[in-house]
Amino acid sequence: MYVCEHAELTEKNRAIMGEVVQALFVEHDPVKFGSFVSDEGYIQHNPDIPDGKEAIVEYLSRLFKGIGHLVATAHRIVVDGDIALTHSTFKSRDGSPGGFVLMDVFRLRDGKLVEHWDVSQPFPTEAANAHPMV
Amino acid sequence: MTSSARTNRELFHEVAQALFIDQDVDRFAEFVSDETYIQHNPAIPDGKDAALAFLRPVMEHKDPSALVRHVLVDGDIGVIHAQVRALDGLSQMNIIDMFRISDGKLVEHWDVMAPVKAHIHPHQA
Repeated sequence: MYVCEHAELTEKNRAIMGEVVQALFVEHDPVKFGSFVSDEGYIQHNPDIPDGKEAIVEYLSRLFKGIGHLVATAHRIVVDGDIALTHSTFKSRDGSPGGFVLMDVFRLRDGKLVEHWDVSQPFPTEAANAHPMV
Repeated sequence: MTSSARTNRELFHEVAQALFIDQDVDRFAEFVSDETYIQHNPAIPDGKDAALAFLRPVMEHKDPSALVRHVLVDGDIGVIHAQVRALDGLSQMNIIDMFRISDGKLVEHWDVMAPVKAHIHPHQA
């Protein structure tokens, strides 16, 4: 189990994650996102994407071109030491069904993103409670 | 770090222990508020009873493969990133559970889960 207790590191990384979220979910700018990724290695756990900064920038360039019909919203950032999580949604621009909820987990080292995991799930067509998934 | 954050960290590591390591529903239940438990998982109604009713059959048979990757505590939010056995008993799921803590109890829950897919490279999901 991973445990980290560094308030100073948490706040430094929280500031960086604010910019990461802006690049990813607001501006959809793969190159700007890439500026936060380590040049020395980016361990990628998403099975669709190879390791490394170049691969993620290339992947995001293609992804962002293909999701014009979706609106991305980052709902929260959780940071604990060198690990950060973003909770986001991608919803249809025209309000039609579909879209998905996403949690991304990043590890940071020396102010750069060095590792990434993600889990995404399509929105349900019906729900047993009255709350959104985010 | 405030004392409440420290308290939430201690509490939340016990939550992670109960849910994913001991896989003890009754122990988990001790951490859930009796008054309010706002549920964002679309398969589960609000409230403690509904959450426990959902978890009991899922956790009836312990999952020896359960793996906790990360536990985060940030103010009143706690996150557990784990890999567990899927309900079919064969495949594996990646899961991230997020909880809000209020007055030492879990009062809100969000999650995402997805099957572990084959990898193009050797890292585990």
